[in-house]
Amino acid sequence: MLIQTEHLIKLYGRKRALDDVSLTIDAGQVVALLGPNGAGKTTLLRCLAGINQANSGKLLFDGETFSRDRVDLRARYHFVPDFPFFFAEATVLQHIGMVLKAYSADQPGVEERVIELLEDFELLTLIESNLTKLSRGQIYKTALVALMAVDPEVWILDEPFASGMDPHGIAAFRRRARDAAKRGRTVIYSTQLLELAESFSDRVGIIAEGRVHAFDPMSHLRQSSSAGDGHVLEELFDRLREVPE
Amino acid sequence: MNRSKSFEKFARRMAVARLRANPKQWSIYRQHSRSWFGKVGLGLLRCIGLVGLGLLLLALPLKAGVAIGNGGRDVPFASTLAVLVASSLALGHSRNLLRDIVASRSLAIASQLPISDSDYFGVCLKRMWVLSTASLAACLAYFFGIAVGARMPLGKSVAVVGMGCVEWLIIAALSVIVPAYFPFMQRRRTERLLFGVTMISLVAGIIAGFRKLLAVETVLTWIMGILPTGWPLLLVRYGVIESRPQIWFLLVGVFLLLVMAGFAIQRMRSSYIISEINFGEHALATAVLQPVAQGVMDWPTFESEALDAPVSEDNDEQPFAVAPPRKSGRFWKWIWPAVDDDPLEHAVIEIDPDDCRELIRSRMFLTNDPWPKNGWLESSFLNLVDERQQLVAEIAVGPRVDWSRRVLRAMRPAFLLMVIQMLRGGLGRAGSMIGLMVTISPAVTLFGAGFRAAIWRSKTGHRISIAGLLPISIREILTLSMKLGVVRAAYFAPFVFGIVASTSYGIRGTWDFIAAAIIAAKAALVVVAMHQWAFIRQIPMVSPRPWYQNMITGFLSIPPSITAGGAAVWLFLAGKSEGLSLAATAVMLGWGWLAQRYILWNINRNAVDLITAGESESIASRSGDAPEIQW
Repeated sequence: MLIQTEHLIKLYGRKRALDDVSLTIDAGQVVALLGPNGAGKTTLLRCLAGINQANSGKLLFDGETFSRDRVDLRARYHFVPDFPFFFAEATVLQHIGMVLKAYSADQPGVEERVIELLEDFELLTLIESNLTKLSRGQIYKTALVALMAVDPEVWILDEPFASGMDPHGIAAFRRRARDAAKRGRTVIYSTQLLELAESFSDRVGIIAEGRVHAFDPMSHLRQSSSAGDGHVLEELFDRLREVPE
Repeated sequence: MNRSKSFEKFARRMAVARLRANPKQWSIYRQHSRSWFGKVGLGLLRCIGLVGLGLLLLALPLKAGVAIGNGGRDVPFASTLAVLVASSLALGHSRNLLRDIVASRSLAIASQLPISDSDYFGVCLKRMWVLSTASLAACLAYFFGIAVGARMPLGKSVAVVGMGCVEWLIIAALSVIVPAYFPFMQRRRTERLLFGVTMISLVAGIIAGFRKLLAVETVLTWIMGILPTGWPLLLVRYGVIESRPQIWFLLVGVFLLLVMAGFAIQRMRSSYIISEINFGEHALATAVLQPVAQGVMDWPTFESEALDAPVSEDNDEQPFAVAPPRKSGRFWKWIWPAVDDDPLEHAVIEIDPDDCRELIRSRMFLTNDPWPKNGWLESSFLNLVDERQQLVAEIAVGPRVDWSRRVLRAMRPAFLLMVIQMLRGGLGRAGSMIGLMVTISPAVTLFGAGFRAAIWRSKTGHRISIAGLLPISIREILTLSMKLGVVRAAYFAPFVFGIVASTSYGIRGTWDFIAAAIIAAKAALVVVAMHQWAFIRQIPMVSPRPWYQNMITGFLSIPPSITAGGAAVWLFLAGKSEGLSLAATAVMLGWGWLAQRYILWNINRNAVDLITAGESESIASRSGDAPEIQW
């Protein structure tokens, strides 16, 4: 799905959380949003997910203007916040089932995918456990399994690498997100881990004070950087800090 | 943390001077600085509100005291009410004290800092004493009112006002005795039981009084004698006014209470141990008072194999982590909050992987959750919805659906009232109106509860409408809510009819029947309107729109309490003018419709943010310009 934002402005009171953000995200990419704390990454993700509304500007999915009553468009993406939402009384399996049903993704055969995902994220034996009793990492894994079981066209994730997941879970997420991108899915996520973003993403957006300072493919950034592999984004960040105010 | 005002001023001057030098930083500072109204106006409003509230709190007991002193008609009720209020204050203070040490955020913070546990507990105690001075003011006002109302001479007036101090001492003593010796009194289940017993006793007393089975005076004296908070009133009545010397022996009881309070404080100080601290977004710590006598806590029996681990010696040190010891001869430990549900529901359960695969392949998790078979409300509701709506309802309702049980529970007081009215042979038209209000009041409290799960809460305290995260439109949820309102109203109407028919109207002919039916139908319409408002009010939204749109939404989202007030007026009008009552009903329904339209319009235009902070201020309101709208 082609995602376009046109001159998005999001105000919190008089503070500009997003300041004239215009982006085009093609399908089949892994996109990282980077930036200092309070830069507007989460706000941008929430705007893309239709949870926060920009004060002005447009959001287009495949050329169609997005609005909340377009349930058909909303069924094409899924957003996982940094602290996923869930019913306090629900078990792991109930939560996954609920999300699948809401997305009408409960067709025959999905159960095998769910088993595979639960095994991959080491949640299989915990399916009857109450979510409130699981650790933060396990809750995030549950949300990820639900997302991957639905397999929407766009995956939107807030800080997946700071979610408390263990290394095995992070590796599983990276592997599956890469596979999804190959299948034409778009993965948009925010992070603070520059090295990880550099090795994992196809395109990187750097946001500071609500403005997008860079939104380029990793290959371009590597070419324009004098730093070696693993330090390209670090150098970019340093340059950003040096920009006179 | 409070700092000196002079330091604050100095720091501010320094910071502002630096900020002014940099235009960009100055612009950001100006964006975040509060307006004059935010700085001064709100403070002034707060002061005025607090003074008004303080005056009201003092005026009410004073008025009640004057009524008792005058010996008016309401004496028994006012006295009983005073005793009950004083007891509630004592329970409230003891609960405050427990909140400071059990599952407490401030304890979690203090426990990480070099602050001794005894110091922390000492501060909690002092805080409780300071809070209880409000009770002292109320007690003094109350007894002063009695002295004024009875026009007593100065000496007696002083003695009566002194009883206000005695009353406060009793409240303060009970505030520490209850948590130290009767911790189970603080449990929710015990609270409910206490409330139930009190209500039943009151109703029984009223019935006995009206039926002349028992003198009201006797009932009152018994209540005052049983509850220590009633002793000062007995002392005033029989000691000061009637000069019966033997009643002063009650002061011995007061003295014993104070001694017991001293022991209670010692006991809590010596047995105060922090048992568990959870860090993270919801940092909480729990202190355990130990050892408590065996049998104080009725822990549920743990039958599960998963939880049936042998009790190790460590269990005594970490009682929160594992099942409590079940062998006799061990000390039971009191832990808060009490475990009152099925422990398996809250446990991490590991199942054999093959069983898990089988369970998933059965696709049972993809079928609709079974709703309670016996729930008349649930089954009626399901008849009105299609497959998609049922799915949305299940998501909006959450894993547990217990509307019928909740409604029945909320209707209990109304049933009681009906029985009383029947016993008394009817209270007339006014009684009928009161009956309807009492019936509606508990129902109002649960109107919005039907789709409470439609609002999700994250661990960070953020709330979001499910329509925000899943591809479900808010229109679908509102439609469901309306259907549930209709079902509830349909079940509510016959009940109103029964109340009206069994009290003031009676069924003496066709016209009486029709009149009762009309009132029931109108009450049902009110139920539908209130149901919608109560539901809409739950949806958390922050509007980034201009102030006038916020004002409109604020105007449309009148809280249910005001709505209930409107219903009261309407019900009153029902007896006066049919035209007016119909007009009021039309206004209420129209208002509900308008509110819904406006919300849909806003949401579909993406004019609202469907996420907001639950515990802290919302992002928008923190920046000082767009206030959070309370729906």
